[in-house]
Amino acid sequence: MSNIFNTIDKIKPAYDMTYKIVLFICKVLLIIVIFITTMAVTGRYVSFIPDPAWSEEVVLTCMAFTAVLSAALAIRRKAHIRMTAFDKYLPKKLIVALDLLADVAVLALGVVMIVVGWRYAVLLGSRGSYVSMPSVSRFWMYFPVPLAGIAMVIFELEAIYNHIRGIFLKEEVYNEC
Amino acid sequence: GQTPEETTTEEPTQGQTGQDGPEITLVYAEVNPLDTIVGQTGTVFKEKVEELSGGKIKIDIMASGVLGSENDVLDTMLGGGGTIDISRISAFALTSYGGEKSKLLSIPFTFVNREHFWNFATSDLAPEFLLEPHENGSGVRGLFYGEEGFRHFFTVDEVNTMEDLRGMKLRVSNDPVMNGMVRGIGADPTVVSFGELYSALQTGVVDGAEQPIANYKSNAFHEVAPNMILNGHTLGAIQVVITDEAWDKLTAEQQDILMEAGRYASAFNREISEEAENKVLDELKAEGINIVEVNDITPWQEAVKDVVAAETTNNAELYQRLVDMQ
Amino acid sequence: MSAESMAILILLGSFFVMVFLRFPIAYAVALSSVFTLLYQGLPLTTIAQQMVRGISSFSLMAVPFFITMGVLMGSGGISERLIGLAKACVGWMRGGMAMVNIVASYFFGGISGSASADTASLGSILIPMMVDQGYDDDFSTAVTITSSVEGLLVPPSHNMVIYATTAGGVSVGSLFLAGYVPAAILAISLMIGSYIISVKRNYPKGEKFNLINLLKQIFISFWALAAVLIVVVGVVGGIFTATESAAIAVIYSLIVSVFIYKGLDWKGVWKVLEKCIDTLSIVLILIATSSIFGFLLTRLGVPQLAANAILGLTDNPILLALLLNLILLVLGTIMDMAPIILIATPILLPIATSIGLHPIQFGIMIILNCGIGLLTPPVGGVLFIGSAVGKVPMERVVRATLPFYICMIITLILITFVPSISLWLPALFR
Ligand code: NA
Ligand code: NA
Repeated sequence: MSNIFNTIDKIKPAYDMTYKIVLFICKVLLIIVIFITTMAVTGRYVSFIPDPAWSEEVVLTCMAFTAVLSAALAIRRKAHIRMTAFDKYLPKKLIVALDLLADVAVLALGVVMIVVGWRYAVLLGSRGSYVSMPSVSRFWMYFPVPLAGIAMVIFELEAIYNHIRGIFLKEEVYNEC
Repeated sequence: GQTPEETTTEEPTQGQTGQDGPEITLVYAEVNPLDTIVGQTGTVFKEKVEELSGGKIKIDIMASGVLGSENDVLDTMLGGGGTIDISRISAFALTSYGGEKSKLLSIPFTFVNREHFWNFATSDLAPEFLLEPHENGSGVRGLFYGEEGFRHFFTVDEVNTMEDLRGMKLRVSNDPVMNGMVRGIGADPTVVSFGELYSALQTGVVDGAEQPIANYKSNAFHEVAPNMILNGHTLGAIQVVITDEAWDKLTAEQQDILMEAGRYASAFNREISEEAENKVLDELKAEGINIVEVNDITPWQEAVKDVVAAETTNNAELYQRLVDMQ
Repeated sequence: MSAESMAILILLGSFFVMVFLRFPIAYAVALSSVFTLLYQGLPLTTIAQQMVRGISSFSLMAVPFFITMGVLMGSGGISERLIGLAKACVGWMRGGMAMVNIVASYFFGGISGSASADTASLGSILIPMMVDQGYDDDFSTAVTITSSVEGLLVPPSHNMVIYATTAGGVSVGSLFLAGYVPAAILAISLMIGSYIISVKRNYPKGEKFNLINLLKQIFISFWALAAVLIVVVGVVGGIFTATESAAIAVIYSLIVSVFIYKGLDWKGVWKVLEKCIDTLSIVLILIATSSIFGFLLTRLGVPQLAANAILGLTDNPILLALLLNLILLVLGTIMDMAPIILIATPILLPIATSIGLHPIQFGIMIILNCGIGLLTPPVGGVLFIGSAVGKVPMERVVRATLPFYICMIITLILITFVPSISLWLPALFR
């Protein structure tokens, strides 16, 4: 049994890499958002700095990407806010089971988000554009949703695998961060 | 269910009034509160539909923008969520969904007066415009037109002529038409979200903005920007749209009821709009708001000539027909 | 049972069950919305639409900006200097930092007009400072989130504008004036609460007050203080909006950290951005998914149902006044402010005026009630931001906030039964 797990464990570096790449994208987007907002403000007072009409819509879309991508990172860090008030009264096995249940449910939600998010982004993309940028499809406004789904599924698969591994190897689910 | 006895009862009008169709509730999104011109128009539409259908079609108006902004609502409707069936939008909102025809309605200084707009709204051109999003494949169709009055600039500092606006930071929505117009009159279009506009006017982040008279007062902008110049750059043309999905669920009779109620609500809107606006204008004057009339609109028209030309080239002939309807 | 009430039951029921089963709250709200849509036979595209709508509000951008500012200040040497200054100012007083937090929110939260922005900005600076000086992290977070509610009452306040325009005939200017005194009373009651807790938990008390040391610290922290000054002067002076000020504050903190205090180099800046993303990763998704939940609650008419529930229950004005507060508090636990104000005002305001409440006074009541709702589980935006910024589990924050809920309720009752608290100042200026 442990052989199987050892084989699958080899994929962990790929996960570490994915985490780093997503984190990199989030940081860049955050910088872009701050930069554009500052530019729009200064552009009002300094004539050679642009104060484009698209600033608000671009900022909001970048932030939507940051929101959903970083949320997937939080899955790996087990950082999402949840109610843990009764943990000390519950048997450990039950908590593991509940964690597994929650992870499976979030995985399912991720799949839902991929399917309906993609369908929605494509439909709206074919029907509308940004208000300030008539040439840019509204697809990009909603693309964060299926993208979030993909990132959620990727990191939930790892979390679920770690639960199963923990159950079979009778060890604590290791904390990978 | 009906018993055979009941079906044999002669009630010839029933079929035609749509009272035997399936009972249906349609969710109607309105961005403004119910006591505004557009809110009242929606209420009249609702009452007429419910009256004509004998209560079989119910309209559930969710006002004050609780279901989202115009674009949120349109995204919901166009995306086929089924959560919103009808909404009242400004005609211009369809522009970013390929509404080339409806865009023409908000080209600056197209309509010289209300009469001009209503000539259009009651012409055979109107149904063509209303059906544009359906024919574009957007999945919604217009039911009827209305208006919430001409839009005017209002400012923190006193403004008496177009020249006075030069160099001012004016908040307009972020679309190319409005931005082009503000640049045309020599002012700076400034991006400020509507939610921050009151504070932005109060602290002086922007020098002015533009709204129809009634909205100017209902959003309390007159408290912080007590000067309005009645330049009437665009007419606030509104329309009520329904999703194809909801439309197709209705029987032909029920569709007729909606159209008839629409005509009724449209006429009602025409009746109250000017009256309500004049009332608000009197109230504003009584509160000491500085209202400046514009006697000669030609310099304004001259200033925005380029943006008008640029935004109408695709439909120049159609636009000319609109202009000629005065 | 009607299909509508069944849908409400599924939405709220499945949400609460999942919360108790330890599901991440951000995904529990989304999943319960999925179940509800499935029950109603509606396409799930609403999920996609509302998630994006939730995050697409420009004023909301103040939250990520201020969190970034706080992280830069903490790592770049700005907070360090502010700690020295704060010690010199209020170090002699037990619970002095809590007082600073509460007073700072009155002014700073007043400017931002948003409790979320206030918690993101002051919280990410003050919570680490308080912990550094020996305050418990849960107490520090609790003080931060409760005092942020002051910012909703001190003008300018976007939510007051929403109320005034919804109520109709209420002047925004008068409502703005009405907020100062209630916010001050809230601040005082929070200060009393903080002082009692500080004595109980035996929080530290430093050296005696020394004017020369204070002047020295002011000098040392000049550039740090200038950050606050830039935001305040910029917003009050109309150079930028409150939301934009947050982005300016980030750039300013960056410049001071890298070029003046030299606490960070560019590599260090890139590195600490990870801390920002860590916090944002928790906060933003909650805002996005709660928006689906809020949309469904709105569409199912839950606020109307709740508000209508108190119609005709009693004629007793005192009971009715208490019921008005109760219903708003209950709605506040699951919904955001703006939709409650928009939907409940037209139903509740006539009841309020019928028992003699002035529309302005009722506006203050609504704002405070909904403000408290932002601090309560299961759905409380400011509570979530506080928990993420302070890095304290939600339940511990809630437990530490319990005494402050009492302070806020006392303030609420005072505002409800003493009209002059809200009406005195506007009357003075009429
Ligand atoms: Na404020
Ligand atoms: Na605070």
